[in-house]
Amino acid sequence: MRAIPMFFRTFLFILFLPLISRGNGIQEDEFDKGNRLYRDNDFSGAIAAYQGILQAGYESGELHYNLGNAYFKNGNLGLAIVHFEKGRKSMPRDMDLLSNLEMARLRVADQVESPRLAVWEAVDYARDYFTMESLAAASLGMFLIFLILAGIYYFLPKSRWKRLTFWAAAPIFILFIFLFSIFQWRLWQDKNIREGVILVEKVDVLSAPDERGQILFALHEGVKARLGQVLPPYVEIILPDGKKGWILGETIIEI
Amino acid sequence: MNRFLTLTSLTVVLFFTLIPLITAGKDLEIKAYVDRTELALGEYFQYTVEISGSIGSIPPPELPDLGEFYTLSGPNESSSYQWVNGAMSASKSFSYLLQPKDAGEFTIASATLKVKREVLQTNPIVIKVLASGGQNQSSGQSPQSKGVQPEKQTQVEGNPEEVFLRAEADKTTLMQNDGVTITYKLYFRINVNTYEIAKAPQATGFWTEEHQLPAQPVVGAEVVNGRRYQVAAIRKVTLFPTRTGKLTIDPLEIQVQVREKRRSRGNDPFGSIFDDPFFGNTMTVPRYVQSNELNLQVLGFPAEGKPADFSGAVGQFSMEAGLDKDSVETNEAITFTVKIKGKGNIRTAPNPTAVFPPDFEKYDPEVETSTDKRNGEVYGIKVCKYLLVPRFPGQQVIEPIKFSYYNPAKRKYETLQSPPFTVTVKKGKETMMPGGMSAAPGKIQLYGSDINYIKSRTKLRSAGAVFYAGGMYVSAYIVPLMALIGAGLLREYYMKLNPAKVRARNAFRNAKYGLEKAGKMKVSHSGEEYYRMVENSLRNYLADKLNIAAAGLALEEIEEEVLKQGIRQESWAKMAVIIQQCSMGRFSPGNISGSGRSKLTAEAKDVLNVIEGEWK
Repeated sequence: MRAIPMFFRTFLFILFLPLISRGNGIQEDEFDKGNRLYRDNDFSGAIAAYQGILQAGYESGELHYNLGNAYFKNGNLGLAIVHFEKGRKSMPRDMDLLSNLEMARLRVADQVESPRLAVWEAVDYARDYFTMESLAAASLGMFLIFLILAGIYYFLPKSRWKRLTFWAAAPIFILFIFLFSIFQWRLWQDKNIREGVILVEKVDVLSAPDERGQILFALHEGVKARLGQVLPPYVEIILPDGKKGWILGETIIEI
Repeated sequence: MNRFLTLTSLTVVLFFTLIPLITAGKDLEIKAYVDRTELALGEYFQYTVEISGSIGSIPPPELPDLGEFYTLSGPNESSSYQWVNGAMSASKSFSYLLQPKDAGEFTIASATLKVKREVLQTNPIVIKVLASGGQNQSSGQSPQSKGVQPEKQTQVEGNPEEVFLRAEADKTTLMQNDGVTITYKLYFRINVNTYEIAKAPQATGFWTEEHQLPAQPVVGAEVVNGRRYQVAAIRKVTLFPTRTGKLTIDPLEIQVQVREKRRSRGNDPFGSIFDDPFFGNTMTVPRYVQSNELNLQVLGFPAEGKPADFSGAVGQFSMEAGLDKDSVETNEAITFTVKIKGKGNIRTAPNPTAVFPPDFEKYDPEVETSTDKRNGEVYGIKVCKYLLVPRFPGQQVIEPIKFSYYNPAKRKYETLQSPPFTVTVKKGKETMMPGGMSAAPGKIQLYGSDINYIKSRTKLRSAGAVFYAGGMYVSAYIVPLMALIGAGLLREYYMKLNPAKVRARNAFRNAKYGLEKAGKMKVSHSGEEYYRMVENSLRNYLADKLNIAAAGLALEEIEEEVLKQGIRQESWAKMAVIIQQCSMGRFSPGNISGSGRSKLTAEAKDVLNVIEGEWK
């Protein structure tokens, strides 16, 4: 029976191996190089250094944050927002990042307001409070703890401890259901809801994926929108307030 | 011969030159005439006294008493001077428009003129007034109107030079935001009754201030191109150009009501010449008059000496600034007032720049502007009231207020500056402002709005390598779950191999089920049946637990065995009592009541739970 926790420990180690593994030293040096260039106000140089790391296949929340900063200082509002949003996925509670993202959003010419209840804002806040990694790990962790408690309850001979495990397993199971649902919701969103940011200074939104389509309205750099259907070279966008239209795919970049 | 000729010619020249001097005062002439002598009551005629002579100044005549007539107009004097062949002749006429008061014959007495003890007189004139009639306008005796044929065709004719509108700007080159005053003057030589503005120019690129003019325009006189015109200023505006470059002010168009003479157009060659407005042959007609266009050259502000806080005020200004109180408690409001007064574009002038201590909560100023237009200039006053709420005690200094403007008269920038103001703020009662406006003590004021600085350290990981995406993560759920279920099944399997264990495990459940059944028994069941059910449930429980046969189970025999399982003596005794009670009840003849049954069942359940809990 003592073999089971041992088995879990080994299992967890294998599970979190990708998290623990680091990018190699060369890339870390590139990151420092980008930071130095940023400090010397060479923002395009910094962008090149940071982008190099991304090209090499490595990333981190801080990398996206710094890259977003460099784009912001370089005047590329749209790309700054893209990288702040990307960084936010890795560090959703980082105050620096959130305030910079807010600052960038305030610079956007179109302030799209979505009519929403405060309750839904709170739900969104709670949902985005954790990273996907921590949600995945926490929900798995809760599940395993629940299994252990269930196992103890089942296999332990009758005793005071047996009762205690029952009352401990119940709330953990509820917590697991909660975390697991949020995790599944986020997974569904990541897969099905794609968002993009306008990169060009101004883009006309057309009523149809055709250059003869009527111009419905115009959007400016930095506006975040949901992406709908794709009919190259056009892509459908949906704004938070429900407005829809088609723009050229090259004017938007997916987060 | 030659000499004689010269003398003769000289004499002739002298003679002619001296004539005027000799004849002066001699050939003065006075005459009186009317335009008609017979008219109907209600009509009017013109009476003129004309004096002519070859002297420079003509003395005024003594006019007769005209008490029998209404004087509609007059005396209208007119003078003319002529210089013909070296002789100057002057004439002066006095004319009256007269309307008889009554019908009948009237005589206008002689007018007299006294010159150097010589008295000149005119002839008296007899006027015949008919009691009725007046429809026949051509009944007048005036020979000029005799030949006029009945009107065939009338036409209003306007000489364009009789009335015109002129726009005058007091300057044509000016600075942006400097005021230019434009006066629209109506020139007229004919009778103009009223006017109204038909189309005011679109003042794009200007801020307009309209001047108030008297409702009845003041009429003056002016000579234009040798003609004497009556002039009235009908509109006056001051424009402040808001942009630079060449700006055009479109013409103003007005409609005037003009009293025109009607002219008959016929074969009569004299018609147009001798038609007289005083015959009542006039009508009022509208006429449109357009002013000239004005072109202004608007210059930008010179860069030289431009103060940093200058933002477009042009004119001459003065400033006053002050606080309503200089000692205040925290969270108590004070008002800081800045007054800008002067001549210029006060309405479009920016508010003065005020810098308040950061510990002051400040609100947008309340601005009041009023203008006063005098003598074609725009004066104004702008009052800015800043509401300030000091949040922290101490000596607070309000920096001097600055207001810069361009003075077009001096052609340079000027800056007004107030003295600094000191406010003593005492610690007051801590009051919460409604809406949570109270600044938390020690709250850091955010001065800039730069983004936060970059992060210096990071942990890079391979992009796209998320541990939760693959089958590995899913199996982390499934494998332990399956392992647990497998272990459980295995355990069940091994348990089945040991019947004694299975029996012991099911003992409690079976006993509980039996007791439930007994508890539900109706009163119709006999007492024996009930007691048997309770007794058997408990006996079978003990037998199953100990893996012995239930039949013939003696409580005394198993007591030792039971107590070995950790059961306390009193729990065991309770159970034994219930079992004995049931054995006895089975054989007693009477039934057991419903309440007795439920009491016994409850006791049996209690003791069963206690024993099960204590059993190792």
